[in-house]
Amino acid sequence: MLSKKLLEMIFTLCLLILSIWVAIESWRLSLGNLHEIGPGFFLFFVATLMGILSLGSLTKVLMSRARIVPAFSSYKKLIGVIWTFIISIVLTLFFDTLGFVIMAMLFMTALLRLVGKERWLRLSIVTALTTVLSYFLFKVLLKIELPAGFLGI
Amino acid sequence: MEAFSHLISGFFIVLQPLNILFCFVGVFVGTLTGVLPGFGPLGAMCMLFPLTFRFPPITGLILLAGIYYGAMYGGSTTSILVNIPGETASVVTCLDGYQMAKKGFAGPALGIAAFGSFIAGTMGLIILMLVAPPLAEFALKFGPPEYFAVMFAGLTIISYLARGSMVKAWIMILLGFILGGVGRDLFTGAERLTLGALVLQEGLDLAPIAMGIFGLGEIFINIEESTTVGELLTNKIKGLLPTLKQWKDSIGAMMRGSVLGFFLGIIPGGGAVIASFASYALEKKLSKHPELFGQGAIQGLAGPESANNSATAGAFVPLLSLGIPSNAVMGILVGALMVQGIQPGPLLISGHPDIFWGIIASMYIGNAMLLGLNLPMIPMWVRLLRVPYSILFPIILFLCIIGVYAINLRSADIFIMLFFGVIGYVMRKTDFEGAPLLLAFILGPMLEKTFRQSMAMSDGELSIFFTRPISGVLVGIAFLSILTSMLAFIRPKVRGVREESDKTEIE
Repeated sequence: MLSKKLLEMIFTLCLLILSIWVAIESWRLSLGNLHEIGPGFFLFFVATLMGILSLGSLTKVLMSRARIVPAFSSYKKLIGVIWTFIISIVLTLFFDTLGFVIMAMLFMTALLRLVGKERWLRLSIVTALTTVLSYFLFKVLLKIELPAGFLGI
Repeated sequence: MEAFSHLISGFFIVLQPLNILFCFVGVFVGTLTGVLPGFGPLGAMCMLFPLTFRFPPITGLILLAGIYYGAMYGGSTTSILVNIPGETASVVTCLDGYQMAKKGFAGPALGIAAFGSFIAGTMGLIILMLVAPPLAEFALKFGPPEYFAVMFAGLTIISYLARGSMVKAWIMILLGFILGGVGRDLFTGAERLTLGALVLQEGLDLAPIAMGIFGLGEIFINIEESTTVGELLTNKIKGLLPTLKQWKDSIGAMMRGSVLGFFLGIIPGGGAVIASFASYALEKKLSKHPELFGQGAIQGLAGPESANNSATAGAFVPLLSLGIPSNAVMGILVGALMVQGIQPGPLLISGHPDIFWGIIASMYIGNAMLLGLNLPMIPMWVRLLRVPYSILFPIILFLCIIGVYAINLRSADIFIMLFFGVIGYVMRKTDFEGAPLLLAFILGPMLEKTFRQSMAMSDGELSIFFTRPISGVLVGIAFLSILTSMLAFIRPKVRGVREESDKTEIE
C-alpha cells in the first residue's frame, strides 16, 4: 500500500514542478524592476520562494526515518472515494445534456448504491426527496437557470 | 449615543421580513453544520454563497454571518453528547462537557454551553460596536504601504500559528498567492498562468476553491475513514437550566472567556479554535482545583464555549474596519461584499452604515434565536446525529455541485471544485493546511496591488515600508515572528548536535 511518506513526496514534488513552471512563465511575462514592476514580478518571487521551500520539504521527507505508515486506511475504502470522484466527473460532463432532474436522480442513485451501499427502498426515498426539494429550492424559489436537458424541465 | 441610534436603525433593517427569515435560516444552517461532524461552517457558507447574489447585500451577509456564529453554538451539542467535536472550535468542549454528560449532567452542560455562548456572543458584539468604528476612522490614514504591512504581518502570524509545520504553512501561503495571481494582470492586462483557457482569464473564483478544499476534501476523508457517531448520551438530558450554584461557578469563566476570545479572534488566523484552547488553559491556571479539569469541571466548559463565540465577533473587526479578512470564513464574506459591488475597507462603516449596523443588529437577534434553537430543540439535533453518513454525503456533495454551478452557470466551475477537492484530500493526508492557502488566495491580489502602488509612490524604494511608522511597526512584527519561529526551528537541532558532540567527548 502507498505510504504516507511516498504520498507526501509525490505531492511536494508536484508543488516543486508547479513552482518551476510558474517561475518560468512569470519570467516570460517580464519582471520589470522596482521602479516599473512588470506583470511577472510578484509571481516570479513567490514561485522562487515556493520552489526553495518545496525542495527543502522534499529533502526533509526523503531524509526522514519516521515509521512508515500507510497513506489510506484501506484500499476498499479508497475505492469509495475514487467512485465518488468518477461519478461526479462523468455526470458533470453530461450535465447540460441530461438536465438537472436526470442528473440529480442518477447522481444520488449511483452514490447511495455504489458508495453508500444503501438498500433500494431507502435509496429511492432519499433520491426522490433530494431531487424534488433541490429542484424547488434552486429552480422555483431562487429561479436559477439550471440545464433543462432532453426532458426540457 | 450616535452608536446607539445607528444600532436602532440596524434593528429596523434586520426586522424586515426577508432579513429576519435569512437570519433564521443562517443560524439554523449554522447550528446544523455545527452539530454534524465532518461538515464545517465554511462548506455551508460556500454552498449558500450563490444564494446571496439574488438578494440585497445586507440580506446575504446576515445569512452568511448567521451560519458562522450558529456553527459555534451547534458544535457544543455533539461535543457534549457524543465526545466528537462538531467543528474544530469545539474540540476543547469535549474534555469537560462530555465528562459532565457522563456523570448525568448533560442538561446543565448543554445549558451552560448555550447560555455561555449567548452571553459571550452579546459581549463580543458590544466590544465590536465600540472598537470597529474608531479603528476604521484611524485606518482612513492608511496608505498602500500600511495595507501591505497589515496583510504581510497577518500572513506571517498565520504561518506562526499553523498547527503543523511552518514550512508547509508557508508553501500553502505561496500556493495561495499563485492561485490568486491567475488571470489578467490588474495593471497591464497581461494574461497570467491562464494556459490559454477562457474560463481562467478572469481569474479563479473563491467558491470552487474553498468548496473543493474544505467541503469536498472533508467529504472524501469521511468516506475513506468512515466517521461513525459513537455512544449518544441522550437518556440523561434533563434540567437544561443551570442551577444558581452552576451559574456562580461558571459566570467568571464566561466573562474571562468572552474578553479573551474577542481579542484572539481579531488576530489573523487566530479565531475561535485558538480562543477556546487559550481560555481552557487560563481557567485551569486560575482554578483552585486544576486536577478536576478533564473530569467535568464546569469552568472548563463555560470558558472555552464563551471564548469561541466571542472570537467570531472579534473576527469581524479587521473585516469591517480594514477590509481585511482574518480567516477563511471572513474571506467568504469579503467575496459576498465584492460580488455586490461593495468594497470592504475603512469607508464601509461611513459609506454603508446599513451594512455594518445591520450585521451587528442581526447578530444580536441571531444570538437570541440560537438560544431558542439550541435549548428546546436538542432532541431534534440528537436525532439528526443518527442519520448515517452514507446518506448525508451524497446530499451534501450534490448541493455543493449545484451551489458552485449556480454562481456562473458553467460546468467548468464544478470541474475546478472537484480538482481542488482531490487537492484538499491529499493536503489533509499529508498534513498541509487549507486555511493559509485560502487566506493567501484572497489576500494575494490585494497584497500585490498595494506593493506595486507603494513602489510607485516611493519611486522603487523599499524603505517606504520601514520609514512610515505604522507600516514600520507591522513589518517589524512580521520579521520578528519569522525570526522567532526560525530560532525555534534551529534551536532543538543545535541542542541535538551539542548533545551528540558532548556524548562523543565523554566516550
